[in-house]
Amino acid sequence: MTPSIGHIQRCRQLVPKVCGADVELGNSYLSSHTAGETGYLASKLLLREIPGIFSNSESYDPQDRGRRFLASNGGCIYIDLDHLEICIPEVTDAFQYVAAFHAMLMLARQAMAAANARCPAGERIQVLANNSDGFCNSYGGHLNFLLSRATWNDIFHRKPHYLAFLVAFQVSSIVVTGQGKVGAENGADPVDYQLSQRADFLETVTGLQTTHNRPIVNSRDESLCTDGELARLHCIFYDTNLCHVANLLKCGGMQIVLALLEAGRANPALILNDPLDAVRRYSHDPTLTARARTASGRRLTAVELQLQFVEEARRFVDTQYLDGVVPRAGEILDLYQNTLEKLQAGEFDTLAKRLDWVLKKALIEKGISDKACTGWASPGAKHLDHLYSSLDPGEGLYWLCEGGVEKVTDRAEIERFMCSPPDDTRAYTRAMLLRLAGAKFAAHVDWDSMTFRIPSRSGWYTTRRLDLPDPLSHTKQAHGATFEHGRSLAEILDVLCGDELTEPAETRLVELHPENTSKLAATSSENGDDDHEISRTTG
Amino acid sequence: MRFREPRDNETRQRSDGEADGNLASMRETGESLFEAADAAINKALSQDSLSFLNNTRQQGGQ
Repeated sequence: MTPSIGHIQRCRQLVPKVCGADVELGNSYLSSHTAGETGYLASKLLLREIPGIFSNSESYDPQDRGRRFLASNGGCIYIDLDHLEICIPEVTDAFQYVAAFHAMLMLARQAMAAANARCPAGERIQVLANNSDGFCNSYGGHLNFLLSRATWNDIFHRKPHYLAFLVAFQVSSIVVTGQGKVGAENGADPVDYQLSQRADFLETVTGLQTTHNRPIVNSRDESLCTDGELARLHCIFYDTNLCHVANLLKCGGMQIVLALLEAGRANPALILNDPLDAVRRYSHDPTLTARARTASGRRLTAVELQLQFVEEARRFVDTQYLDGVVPRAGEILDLYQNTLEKLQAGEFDTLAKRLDWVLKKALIEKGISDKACTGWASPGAKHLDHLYSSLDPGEGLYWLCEGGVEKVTDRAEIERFMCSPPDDTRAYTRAMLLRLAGAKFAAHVDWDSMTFRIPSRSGWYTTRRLDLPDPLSHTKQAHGATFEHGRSLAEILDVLCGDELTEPAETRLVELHPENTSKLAATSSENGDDDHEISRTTG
Repeated sequence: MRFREPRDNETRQRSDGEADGNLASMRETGESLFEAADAAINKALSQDSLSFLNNTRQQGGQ
């Protein structure tokens, strides 16, 4: 079969895996006269303390209330179904993601402290960075990844084995990404402790919905960019992580696997026969000995399956395919592999410094063995489960242990992301314009556009709109100088709107080097995927 | 099979060398990982945990 020109070009171009995150927090108002479901009150009191600029949504949406974009770093915070939701600014690499996410947690902590200072004595707001309350209520810690529209179409509309490959990777990755949870929910079989907060709530392989019958891979098609060649994968599968290494591997692992798919390298041998059964089976077994069957008939533990994905990724990364697509992919893959090998070897003392589920399990075991706590099924064990992720530095077990946790970024970088946007995405221009405009002149703010009120000499306002169609446009490199000359908001918009016409449109696409295409063609023959045939044709 | 078995020697060398080496300078490690949480664990377990759990009940989200 002769491939189409468009298909050949898709195989030769990869989209940088820009990452975002929208994370719901578990917030409660604790007092002697309230009991349960105080989330909305708590989230309102928290949002009041966020120094952001109201985005002025035009319609009421219970999943998007009071959204405020942050002039500090270009991210935003709002209320989603009674949960304070924090969204990082768009970042390009997984190390930045760790810093940006921890920065947003610190901003939420600051809001909590400010709100608590206003509370009457004996009352306070508690904020948990977890994903379930133990009463069958789950809320998400979502990631978002930029990918080509062609890859999106392959995953959801053209190549079911691409979807199955992604599903198998995510399901087995909970050995790295789980936050850990006491007990089971949502009708799952009883268990003392499991790896994942979300596994019990995953009930179908794919779907649009996010609040019920939750899918492993969410098919919500909302690109948040106006460029038709791009798409955004809204990933609702994962737990919220606090450990740096778990966060890095969660984000970096997904970046690499999505790049594999974009290059047409989905190995069907890694597909799980029943991923919904596998995710619960893997999650409910902290001994890591549970096995699940692949479609090709092998019975693999989650760690064994993950190691196979690492092998696939290693061949890919070694061709230097990922330069400019997944920054520092080699480092991420090394750490991923090393962590899996330690899991396989049972080196849990070391892993408690890297993985939340291991650290949380050790802390609860300590409570169970040392104190008047009567075992895993006791309220005390679940109490400690929740306290692990409390943002209160005096009670949050993670934060109390953080000094001994392995770091992949430092405090200075986290503090930088609390007050500065990333330089290399459109978040830079968003934040700089918000600083100039303030609430008075910012009429509407969204991820891919901004509208401003510009005062005229007549005393009336004119409206100016700036589109931000590409997450990798409007960077500091492109526009930093524009903001350095004391120009007015109107003058800067003149420049930016003019530049929209001249800025190169294809900078996001990373061309494969001819020599790398040859290398890929050589290795692809081992897998025999149809897209690899095309690579050989074009190489 | 279409994939190779894990290459133990190769992967060990890579992980012990590059991963630990490249990232070591960025990581801080502590000696008593869990001890810092002792007081908080004690305090939590001296409280009414059942009441705490009921008070932190949430509405479902996304």
